[in-house]
Amino acid sequence: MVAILNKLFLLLPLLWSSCCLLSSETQAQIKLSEVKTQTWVGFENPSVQNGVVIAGMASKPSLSSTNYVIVLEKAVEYKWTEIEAESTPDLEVIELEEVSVSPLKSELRFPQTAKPGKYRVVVRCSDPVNGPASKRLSVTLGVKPDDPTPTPPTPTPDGVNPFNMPGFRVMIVYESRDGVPRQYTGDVRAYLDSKCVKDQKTGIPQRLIIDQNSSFAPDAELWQKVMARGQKSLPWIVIGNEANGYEGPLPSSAAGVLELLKKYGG
Amino acid sequence: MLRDDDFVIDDENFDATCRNQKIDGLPVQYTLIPRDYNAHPVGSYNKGPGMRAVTDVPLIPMEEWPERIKELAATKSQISDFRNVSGPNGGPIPSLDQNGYGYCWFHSPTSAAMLLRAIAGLPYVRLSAFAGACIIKNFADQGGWGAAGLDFFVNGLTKNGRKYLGVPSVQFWPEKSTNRALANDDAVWQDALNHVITEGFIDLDAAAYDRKLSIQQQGSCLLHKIPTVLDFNHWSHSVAGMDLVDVDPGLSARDPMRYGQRIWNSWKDSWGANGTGVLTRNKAWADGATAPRAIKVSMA
Repeated sequence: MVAILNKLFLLLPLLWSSCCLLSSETQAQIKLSEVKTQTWVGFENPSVQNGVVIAGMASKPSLSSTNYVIVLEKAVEYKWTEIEAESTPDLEVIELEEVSVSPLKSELRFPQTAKPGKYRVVVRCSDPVNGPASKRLSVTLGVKPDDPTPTPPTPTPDGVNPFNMPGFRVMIVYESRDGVPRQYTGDVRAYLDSKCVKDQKTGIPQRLIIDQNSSFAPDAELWQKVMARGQKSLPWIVIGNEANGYEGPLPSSAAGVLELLKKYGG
Repeated sequence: MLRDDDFVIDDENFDATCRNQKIDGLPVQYTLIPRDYNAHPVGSYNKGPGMRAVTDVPLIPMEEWPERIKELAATKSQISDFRNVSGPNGGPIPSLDQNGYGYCWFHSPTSAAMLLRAIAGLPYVRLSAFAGACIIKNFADQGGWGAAGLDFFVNGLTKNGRKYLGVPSVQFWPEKSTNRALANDDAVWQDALNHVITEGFIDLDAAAYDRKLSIQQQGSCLLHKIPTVLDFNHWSHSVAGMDLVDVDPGLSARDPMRYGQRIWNSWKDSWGANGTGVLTRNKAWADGATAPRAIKVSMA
C-alpha cells in the first residue's frame, strides 16, 4: 500500500507566509500573518532539490488540501485581545479555533464549517500601559484549488454585453481600502461623461466606479446585476456597448484605460 | 501645489478669515466639542461592518507626497476636481450651509458623503445634514464631533422605538429645517436609507501619542482620493478634507509644514474660494479625523 502511494502520489507541503507590512513603530506592536499549507498530489518520482520539486514528465499535479493558520505575534503583552474573522461581503462572523496560545504568539485556524470565500481577520488588542493596537488581514479560503501556474484573468470575449442592454456603459470595481485607482483620472472621467449613455431619469452618464463590497439601493439593480457577475481581480472594469462588451482587469495606466474604452466607446 | 484662486489660510490671517464669520448676516457658531476620549475611547466608533481601524490606512511615505500631489493635479483627479464637475449642470457641487447652527460636526461628514457620491459617479443629491444632527441632539442646537456624525451615517441610532439610519436628501428634509414632525415621517427615513456610508477608516487621530502618524494618515487618505472628516480644536470647527496641497516646496518632503489641506467648509459658497480654503502651517492638521470611503449605490 505504501509502495503504491509512493509511486503514484506524494503529499507535498508548500509553505509560505503573507505578512502585513508594518508601517510605523506603533503599528509594529502586533503582527498578523497567514500561513497557508497546501498538499499537492500526482507527481511522478518526485524529489526536492534546493527547494524545487523535480518530478517526472508524466506528473499531473493537483491540489489535495489546503490548511490555513492565522498567526498573531505581539511585541509586548496586552491585557485584552480580540480576534475574529468575518466573511465578505455578507459579513458573517466566524469564530476561529485556537491551535496554540501564548502571551506573545497565538495560532488560530478556521473551523471545518467555514465556507470557501473571502474573509477579513481583525485583531484588536488593548492594554492600560501599551495602549490600543489593531491589525487586519484578508484571507481567501479555497474557493477553488490554486493552479501551480496561475494564468491571468481572461477578458470576456466579444459578443457578450455584460449589461445586457444596448448603450455604452462602464463600471469599475475596486477595493476602497486601497483608494480610488490612480488610473481613474480626469481624462478618463471626461471621456466617460462624453460617451456613456445618459440615464433617462437622472440624465447622468451611465458609469460607476465603486467598492467591491458596495451595497445597492433598489434603483441600482442594473449595476448590482453587473457586480454579481464577479471579478477575478481588482481593480476590474466592465464595459458594454451595443452588442459587445469586455470584462477584465483595469489597465494599469490611464492611457491604457482610455485605449480600451475607445475600442468599445468610439 | 496651490491654485491661482486658492483661499490660503495661514497662522497670520486665520483670525480674519475664519473667526467671527457670518453667513447671510447670521454669526457662525463654533461648536466643535473636542471628543471626550474617556466616554468615547478609540475604537468605540469602530463597530460598523465596513468601518476599519486606523492601522488599516495604506500609508504613502511622505517622501512620495510631492510627486503624488503633482500627479493628481496634472491628471485633474483630486477630490476637488470631482466636486467641481459633479454638481448641477456639470458645475461644482454647492457648499452646504449650516446657517448659524452649531452643527458643523454633522455637515462635515455630509459633505464627505456627497464627495463620495461624486467620485463614484452617482447623481448629485443634496443631503440634509440637519436631519441627522437634529435626531442625535433631539433638535437642540448643540456641538459635537465629526466621528459622531459619521457614526450616524454608518450605524444609525435607535430612538423612541425607531431606527434612524442614513441621511435624507433636502427634498425630504428641507435644508436647515428643524421641523420635529420630520423625525417620524416614514418617507424621510426611507429616503435616508439610500445615503448610508458602508466603509471607512475611523479614528485617524488614534495615534494621539504619535502625531506624525496621524498626519501621514490624513495626507495618505487624500492622496488615495478618500475624503476626510476633520475636527480642528483650534478652530472649534469641523470640515471635510478634499486635497493635499504642496504649499511650500522649498521645505523637506518629510516636513508637515510643507503641506496644506484643501478643505470644504459648510458656510456656503460665499466663503473662501467657492466654499473651500487651504489650511496651512500650524492650522493644517486636524486633531480628530475619520475617512468615509464607500457609500451605498443609489440613483436617488
